[in-house]
Amino acid sequence: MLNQVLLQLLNGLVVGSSLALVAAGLALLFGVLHIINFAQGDFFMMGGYAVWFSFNLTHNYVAAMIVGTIAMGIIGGIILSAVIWPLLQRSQVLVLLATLGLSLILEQLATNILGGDTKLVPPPLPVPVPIGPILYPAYDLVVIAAGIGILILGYFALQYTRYGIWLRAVAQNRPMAAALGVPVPRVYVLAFMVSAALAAMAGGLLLPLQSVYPTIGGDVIQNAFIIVVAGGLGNFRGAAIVALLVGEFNALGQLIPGIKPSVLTLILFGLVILLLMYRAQRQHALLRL
Amino acid sequence: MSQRRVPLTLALGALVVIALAVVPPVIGGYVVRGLTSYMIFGLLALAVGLITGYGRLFNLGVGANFGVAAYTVAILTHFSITNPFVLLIAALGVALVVSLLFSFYALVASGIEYLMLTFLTTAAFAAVPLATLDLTGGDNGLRVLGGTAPSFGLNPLVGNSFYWFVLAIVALVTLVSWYLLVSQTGKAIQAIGRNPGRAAAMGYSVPRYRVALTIYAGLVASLGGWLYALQTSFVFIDLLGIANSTNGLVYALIGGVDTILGPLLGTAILRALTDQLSRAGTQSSLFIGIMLMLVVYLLPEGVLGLRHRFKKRRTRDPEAPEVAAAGLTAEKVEAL
Repeated sequence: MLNQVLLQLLNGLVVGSSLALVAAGLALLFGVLHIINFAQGDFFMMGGYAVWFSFNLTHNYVAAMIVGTIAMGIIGGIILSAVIWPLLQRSQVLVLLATLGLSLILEQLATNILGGDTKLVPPPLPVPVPIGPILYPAYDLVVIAAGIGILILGYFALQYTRYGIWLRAVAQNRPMAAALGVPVPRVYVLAFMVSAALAAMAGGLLLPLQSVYPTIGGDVIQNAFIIVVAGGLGNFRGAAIVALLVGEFNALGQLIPGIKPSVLTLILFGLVILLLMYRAQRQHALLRL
Repeated sequence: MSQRRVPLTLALGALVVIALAVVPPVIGGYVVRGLTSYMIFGLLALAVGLITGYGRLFNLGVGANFGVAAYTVAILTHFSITNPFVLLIAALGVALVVSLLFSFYALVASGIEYLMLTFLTTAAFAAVPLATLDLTGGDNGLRVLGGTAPSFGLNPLVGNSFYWFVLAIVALVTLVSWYLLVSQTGKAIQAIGRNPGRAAAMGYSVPRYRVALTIYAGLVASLGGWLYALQTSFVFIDLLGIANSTNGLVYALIGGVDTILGPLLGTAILRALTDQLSRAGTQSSLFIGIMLMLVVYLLPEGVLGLRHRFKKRRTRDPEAPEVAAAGLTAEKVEAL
C-alpha cells in the first residue's frame, strides 16, 4: 500500500509539473495583458506534434525537445500576436472569443492535416530507477525535474532579469511602465512567445508518456483553467503550486477503491467552484443581496 | 424602441410567423425538418443573447440548461414516464436548479471570474454522464423512449404538426422576451448591464434583476433542450459540454446579441451553412471557429448590428436610442 502511495505521489508530480508549465503560460498572459488564452491547450497539442515531428527527423529526443519548443514558441508567438494585437484596445471578452475561435480552428486543422490517430514516440530513457522500495521509470523523473526546473528558472528570470522586470512592470502598471521607457510592444511579444513555448514544452515532455492527438488540448485546457483560477488569475507562483496539488489530487484519488476518474473530476470542479465563489464574494461587496 | 414603432414591429413579427407557418410546409421535404431544428437551437441562441447581450453577463454555461433539460426528458422516459406535461415540467424544473446555480454566480462574481465560473460549471456538467453510466448511458448517449407520447402525440418525422408546434412555442417565447425587454423590467436589466454601479445608485436592485434574467434565460434555453429531446429522440454528452454553449454564443453573436431576432436569425444562417458544409465533407467546428473570429474582428455588432451602423451614419445623432443600443461595442463590454 505504501509503495502504491509513493508511486501515485510521483505520478502526480509528473502530471502536476507539466500542467504547471501550461498554467504558468496562461497566468503570464493574464498577468501582463489581462487576457485569457483559450488556445493554450492547443499550443500544448502543437508542441507535442512539433516534438514528434522533429524526433522523426533527428531521432534524438533532447534535440527534438529543444527544436520543437523553440519552433512552437516562435510560431505560437506569431499566431498570438496576429490574433490578439488588433483587439488590444478593446474588451478582454473579445480576445477570449477570438482565441476560442482559434482553438476550434487549430484543433480541426490538426485533425485534417495530421489525422485523428495518436502519434507515439519510443520511451527515450527506458531505465528503471530504484526509489526507496519501488522502481520508477527514469524518464518520468526527468519530466518532473525539467518541469520544476523550468518553473524555478522562470521565477528567477521574472525576478532578476531585465525582461522579467519589464514584464512585471507592465503587468503592474502599463501606462507608467511605458512612460518610464519600457518597450511595451516588445514585452507583449515576449509574453506571447514564452507563454506558447511553455505550453509546447509541456506537450513535448509528456509526448512519450501520453502520446499526442488533436483533441488533447481540450483535456489540458480544462485543468489549466482550474489551476489559473484557483491559483489567483495572473499569479505565476500560485498557479505552479496549485498545478502540483491538482496533479497529486488526481493521482492519489485513484488509490480510493471503486472511484471513477470522472467522479474525481467532478469533486475537483466542485472544490474549485467553491473556492472561487468564496473569493469572489469577498471582492464584490457592492453587489450582494 | 420608441412607442410609435411598437405596432410596426409587432406587425412585422406576425408577418414572419405567418410566412414561416405557411411557406415551408408548401415547399415540404427537408426544409421543414431543418427549420424545426433551427428554431430549437434558436431558443438556445436567444437565451445567450438575453443574458450576454442585454444583461452583459458573459455566461458560457447556457448550453448546460439546454442539455440538462434534454437529459431530464430522456432519463424520465427510461422510468416509463411519458406524460408530456410531466416531462415538460420536470425539464423546466431541473433546468431551474441549474439556473439558480448560475444566478448565484451572478451575485458573487462578475467579468472574467463569472465567465470562468460558468465555464468550469459547464465542464463539470459534461463529466456527469461519465460518472453516472447506468443512468445516462455515458459516452453512448441516451434514447428517448415512449414513441410519440412525450411529444403530445405529434410525430417529428411525419407531417407538419410538430413543426407548427415548435413554431408556436418559439413565436410565443420571442413575443414574451420582446415584451419583457420593452417593459420597465427590461429597461432596468439593460441599464444594469451597461453600468451596474449607476443602476444601483438609481435604486434598482442589481442582484434581483440579474437573478431574474438568469432564470428567465435558463428557462428559454431549457425549452429548447426539451424540444430537442422530443425532435431527435436522442440525447448525447456534447449537449452538456462547452461546445453547445459555444455554438449558442456564436449563433447569437452572428445575428447580434443586442436584439431579439438577431440570435434566431444567426442560428438559421449558421446552421443552414454548416448543414451545407457538412454535406460537402468539411467539419463544422473549423467553420464555427472561422465564423467566430470573423464576427469578433469584422462584425462585433452582429448581422443586425449593420442596420444600426447604417442608421448611425445617416442620423449622426449620438442621443438616438437605436444608436446607443447598437452592439457589443468595446465601451459597453468594458463595464463588465
